[in-house]
Amino acid sequence: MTEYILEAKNIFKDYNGFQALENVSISLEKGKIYGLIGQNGAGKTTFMRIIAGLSFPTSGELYLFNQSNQKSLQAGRKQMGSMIENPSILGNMSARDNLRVHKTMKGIKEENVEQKVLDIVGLGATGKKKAKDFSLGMRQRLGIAITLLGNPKILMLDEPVNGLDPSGIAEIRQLIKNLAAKYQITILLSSHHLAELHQTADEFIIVNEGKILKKLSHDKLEEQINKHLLVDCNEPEKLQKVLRESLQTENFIVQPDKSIKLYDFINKKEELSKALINHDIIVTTFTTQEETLESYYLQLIGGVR
Amino acid sequence: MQLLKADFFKLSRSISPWTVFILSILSAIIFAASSHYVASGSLSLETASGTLSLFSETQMMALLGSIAAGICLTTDFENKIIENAVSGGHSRNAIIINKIVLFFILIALLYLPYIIITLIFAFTDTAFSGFVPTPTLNILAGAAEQGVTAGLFGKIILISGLSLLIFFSQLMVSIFYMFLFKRAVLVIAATYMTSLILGPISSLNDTVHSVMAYTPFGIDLSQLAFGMSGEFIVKSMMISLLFIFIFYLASFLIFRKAEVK
Repeated sequence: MTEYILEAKNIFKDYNGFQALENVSISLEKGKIYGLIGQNGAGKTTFMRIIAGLSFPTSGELYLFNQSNQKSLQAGRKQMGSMIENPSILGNMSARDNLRVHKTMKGIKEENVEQKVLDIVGLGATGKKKAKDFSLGMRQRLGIAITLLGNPKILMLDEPVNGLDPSGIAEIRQLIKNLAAKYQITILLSSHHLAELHQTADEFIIVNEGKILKKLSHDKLEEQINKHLLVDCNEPEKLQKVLRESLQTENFIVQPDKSIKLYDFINKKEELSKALINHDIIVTTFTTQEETLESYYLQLIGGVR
Repeated sequence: MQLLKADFFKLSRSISPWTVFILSILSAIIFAASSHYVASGSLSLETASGTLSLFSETQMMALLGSIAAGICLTTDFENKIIENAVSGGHSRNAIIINKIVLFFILIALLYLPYIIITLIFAFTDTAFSGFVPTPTLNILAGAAEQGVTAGLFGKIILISGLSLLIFFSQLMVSIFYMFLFKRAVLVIAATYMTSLILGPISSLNDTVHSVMAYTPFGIDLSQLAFGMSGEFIVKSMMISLLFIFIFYLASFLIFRKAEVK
């Protein structure tokens, strides 16, 4: 049986009539990295805030380590590190002192744990420099370092690569992957950097207007964004019939605008073209495409293609 | 306890609590010196009763206490320390209780300079005038009649302890404001305004006076002196403790299901 670290069942969140979350259900497995994808206001942060206990669902149930009562959720949160929106940083203190505040709050006795996590996030040499003098990227790293205190079993990171330069993004990606692989930490990430998320996450949860549109694994996503032919024509229904009956393929997806993504015949375009002409179909679009997570996401939410 | 330790570490690294504490030391010195110079005739009673009475502990506790509530406690909302405490698994009740305990310790520290000055000079022959009937001057002006005994020390501790409890209970509204507004500036302004308004409002009419008599703002602080009665001590303690409990409850009700931002 699959062991779920975190489960959300039928979560609804209503803000004075505005439905921020609608029937959200997810299950997170141990040691996996989950990418939460959605536009601003899609409900990603609201969902993370509910998990962190900063907000309460209007209805629905939340389970942490298979427990759902308030006391157990609080106990479960002691094994969780979260950075939602901006990191909790005191500007007048050094990185080390900031970590000491959070270490004390968490009741961590381990000596020198501050230096250990600072080294992990690449801030080991900041010394007495005050956090208010840190760059945005350094602040993000310090925020991640805070979440790593106490060897958490779950990490929840909202936009963790915000403000990082390309090398910083690559380092954080590697760090996140290592944490999941080496320490079996379950990680829930949200990011606007979809290309980055594509390289980091094992599973994807796509949310839009408070609802989960799609949950799919990395492998499934790879299938979905495979190379394909995009075909549009004057008679979409007839095109589907020709593909099924004459060309004997079901390996295509009809898009909301009736155009078709065809995953066969990529190397047999002439054969396909001939069949369409023979059936008097006037083709208006006929191109080879390879999608990105971004284009897949936009297509899913019915946005710009 | 973890939250309290973290708060103390945080405050020890911040300039603002030290600044407020130094202001309290200075105002205690100025206030005691004014009282001495009035008693020795070097300073007129009118001058002392006017501007210099602002350095009395009753005035300074309201002002510095409000500032401390804002900059030492409420900034935790702005710095997301409260958010981290909640997401780190601390119960909201534990967070409120921690803040109340921390605030009590801060108020005690702010009042400490007045207590120390009283303890030092009550056992000397230095003359003091009770130009404003506050606990500090009541003790300093009346100590000479008491004689230097162990009992005097006990009485000073009792008066100071009761004064501290009353000041703290008056400032408990700031804990409620903290969880209500979550903004330091608003908490400072609202707490200080409450102290300014609820003190004098008692003398508005008999009805208001009788209602306010059941709050710490209605306790007659001039009675905090060597001759205070047992009834006054018990009544003041009960009112103060009840007021603290009511505002703890109000804070809990407001923060129990609140969004933490």
